[in-house]
Amino acid sequence: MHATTEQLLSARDGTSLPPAAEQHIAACAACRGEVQRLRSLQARMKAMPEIRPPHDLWQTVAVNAVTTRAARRVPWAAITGFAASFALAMVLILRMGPEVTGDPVANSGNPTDVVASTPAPAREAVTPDLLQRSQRLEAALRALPAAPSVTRASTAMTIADLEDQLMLVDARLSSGQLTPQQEETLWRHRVRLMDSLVRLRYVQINDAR
Amino acid sequence: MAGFSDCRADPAMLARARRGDMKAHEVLYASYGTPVYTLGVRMLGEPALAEEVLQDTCIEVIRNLADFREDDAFGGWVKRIAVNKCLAHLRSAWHRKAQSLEPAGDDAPALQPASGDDPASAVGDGQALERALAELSPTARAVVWLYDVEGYTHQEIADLMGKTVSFSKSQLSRAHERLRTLLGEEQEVSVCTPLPSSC
Repeated sequence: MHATTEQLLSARDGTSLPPAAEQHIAACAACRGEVQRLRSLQARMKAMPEIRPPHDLWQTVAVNAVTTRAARRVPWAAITGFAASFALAMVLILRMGPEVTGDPVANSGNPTDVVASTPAPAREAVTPDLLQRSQRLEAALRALPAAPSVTRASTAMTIADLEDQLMLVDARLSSGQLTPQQEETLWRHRVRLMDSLVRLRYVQINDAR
Repeated sequence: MAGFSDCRADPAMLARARRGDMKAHEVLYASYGTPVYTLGVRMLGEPALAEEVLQDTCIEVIRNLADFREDDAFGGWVKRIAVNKCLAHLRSAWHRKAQSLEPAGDDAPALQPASGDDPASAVGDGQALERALAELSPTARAVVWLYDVEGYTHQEIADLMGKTVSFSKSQLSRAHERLRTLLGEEQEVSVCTPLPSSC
């Protein structure tokens, strides 16, 4: 009976073998030939050529300048703050639903660093549920920590694109020349954009942890 | 293949990179980009996934370099990050789903390596080996590559994969049995050929 592949690999690598297997391999030409074949295969694998990455791949990473943040250690208090922010953001996201009703919440928040605050609707109570959802999404967005200094270019570009679209929507909503139907459509679009933005920002931050 | 052993970084360059100098990071990337990408392609068998591994590794290097102090071990540190990124891909539900949709390859015929002494022989042999490795299951391919090429021990592989040493050993054995078949290197040895006074 010949040595098993596991035993032959052990013989190739010079690791411990049961005495009987060691004696067999030493005496059996076929098994010694197999050990030699395994050794040769390993050498062939090690000799496989390197593969160069696409030359522009670096550009997909270095989108934001790295600042002195890299040389700074995050204090425990900040970590706790981040954790609390995450928890708050998730609670707010989970509480949002399509059937939200009630009076619009007065928009008392500060503009976020990402998008402008929810614009005031042209007519009272035109879209209370959408307005409320929009404001909650903004609160969730504010609760998230700042964007990491280095991120995937694709993520950063998608976020920038969403922000641009939000600016356009807000500009149109502020124009005051909309039919109720147009206004409703724009508000729905705004909530969808905000929703995507919050989710993407959460992924981005979670990715960096 | 030079791999990560040649992936050394000048301490001055590392210091610049730690201060957030992106030009220095680009120089470091030039030293580890190819080994990381090669590792990704060999372990995952997909250039697109290898690109993701390289991006993720690069981002992690940039983010964590400030906390890394063993300049001489820079290559090993990057390799450890890259291996973990590859294994994370293997563990992902998406990867498992993609693999489950592929036809089972256990009955695949042996791949025909180029033969003869012509210059194309070595190239053909390399291609046959590449195709044979691609036929292995992702886990088996990862174990073979980590053990046989990157020099990880069974204990290290077991720790990385969250499995046992026996798992790593059996994956390696089964992978080699499969490679032997795929490369058409099976010997006609059904009986032992004893040497005098033994076997």
